[in-house]
Amino acid sequence: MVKIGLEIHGYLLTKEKLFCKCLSVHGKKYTEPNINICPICTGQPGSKPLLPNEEAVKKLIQIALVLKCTINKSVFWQRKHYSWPDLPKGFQSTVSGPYAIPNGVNGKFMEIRIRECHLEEDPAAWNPLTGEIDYNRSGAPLVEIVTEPDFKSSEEVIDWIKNLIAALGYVKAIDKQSGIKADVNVSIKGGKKIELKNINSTRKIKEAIEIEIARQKKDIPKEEQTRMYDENDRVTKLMRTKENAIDYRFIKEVDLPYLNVDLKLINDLKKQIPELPQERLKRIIKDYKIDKKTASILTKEIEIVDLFEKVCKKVGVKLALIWVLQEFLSVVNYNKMSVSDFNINPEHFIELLQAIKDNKITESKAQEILRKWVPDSFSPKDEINKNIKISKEELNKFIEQAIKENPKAVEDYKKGFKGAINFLVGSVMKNSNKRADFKLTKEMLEKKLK
Amino acid sequence: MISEKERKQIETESKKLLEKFARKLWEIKGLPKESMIIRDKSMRKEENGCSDKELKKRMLANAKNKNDDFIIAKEKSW
Repeated sequence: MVKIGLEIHGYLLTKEKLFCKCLSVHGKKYTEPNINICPICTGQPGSKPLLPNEEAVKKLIQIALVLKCTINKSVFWQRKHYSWPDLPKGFQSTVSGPYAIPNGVNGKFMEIRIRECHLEEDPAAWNPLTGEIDYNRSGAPLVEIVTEPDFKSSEEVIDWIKNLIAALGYVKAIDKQSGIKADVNVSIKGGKKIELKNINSTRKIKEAIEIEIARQKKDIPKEEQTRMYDENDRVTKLMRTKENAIDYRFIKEVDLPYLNVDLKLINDLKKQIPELPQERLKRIIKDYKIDKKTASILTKEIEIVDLFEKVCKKVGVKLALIWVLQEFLSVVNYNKMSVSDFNINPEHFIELLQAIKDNKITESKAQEILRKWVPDSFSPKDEINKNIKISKEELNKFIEQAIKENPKAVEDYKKGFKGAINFLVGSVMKNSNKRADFKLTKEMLEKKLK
Repeated sequence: MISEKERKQIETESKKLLEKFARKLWEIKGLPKESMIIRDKSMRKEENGCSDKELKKRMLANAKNKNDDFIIAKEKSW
């Protein structure tokens, strides 16, 4: 019998850090190291924290509501002490610890019980290989979600985490770019609990759990330990015997007042929570008669499903599905961006698809317009008017031209190399500036070359 | 200058002190119920966030071990 519990850390989506006015932007990909810093988040002597960032508190409460937690209206901050180069002031300010009243308690998400979820600040980023410390991350607001040990397998864990990330994406509470970090507690019957620290991707979480279960089955743990997952050697390695709360010397944070949230704020935040992925999935399947697999892809991100629902009301389910799920997502992936990086006005999308439906422009031309909507869409009206689909008569002229200009391809086709026709279609597309209908061009060419 | 032996001894003694302190702290039953600091509000409104390249320069100027962008803290040498 395996029991698995999770402690998940996610970065809250805020502009500023938790206790100072520094930009909450970190990571080499996004900013220069050590520039989003101030005396507060670098723990300079004499510096005191500002009051906590309200936006971080609101996001935290929304997460707690999504997880169906009871919200504690008055909580206090604690200092969690440890000595490490990632923690310049020597303690972390957190709403967790032995005396804590966490922000949210006793929740449930997809049948997994949530023990608590609370707010805390992140330490700096310390690279153990180079020793480099990046304080951009120091003080960034984090949510920690602690589950009961209700999971029984790695598959169950991964499925749950994916659904959790999707749900939190709907309330735009966590920074998906920064990802999540998880501590995973694994125990088997008769053995002590082992904590696997700081695993930062779902793939690694799955691997680490499976490898740790296999290890424990061979050698049942007799003491609690903290271990790390080494993905190169595919083993978990002992870091230390488990620290107790006593080692962290928790005390009340003397520089911060109680964190109070009133019922009105909680109710306002509750009203802002949209229909969540699980419910939306069921409704989408029912309302639009689409299969579960397609509906699952649609509901993975709120921006996609919102766009689909707005567009399909005007142009129909079939066209909307193809253009939202295939064409739009291929533009997103090609640009290595995420859906939320795009500012797509659904009205522009509807105009574009209506033009295809009305046979005004070709699909190739529409794809070209779509590719220009990075990152902001614009009305496609002018582009459509400039690129009206050519008539059958005009198409015939382009086909004649393609046959004349490409005798080798014609000869190859007639010899039986059927693929040669694609070259001729491509030539028509090029000469007509993609205003020729692809399917019709191919049909007419085949007829002519018989 | 202290010898390596003395350094080790100080390290061991300070660790013992810290552990003793941690245990004493743990034995305290309950925490003061009132807040230790009084403010009209318990949160601040977020603005747009800011950066400070000057502080980076000053921090690096004072750092013992560093490269162009980072203070360096190698394990067991801080």
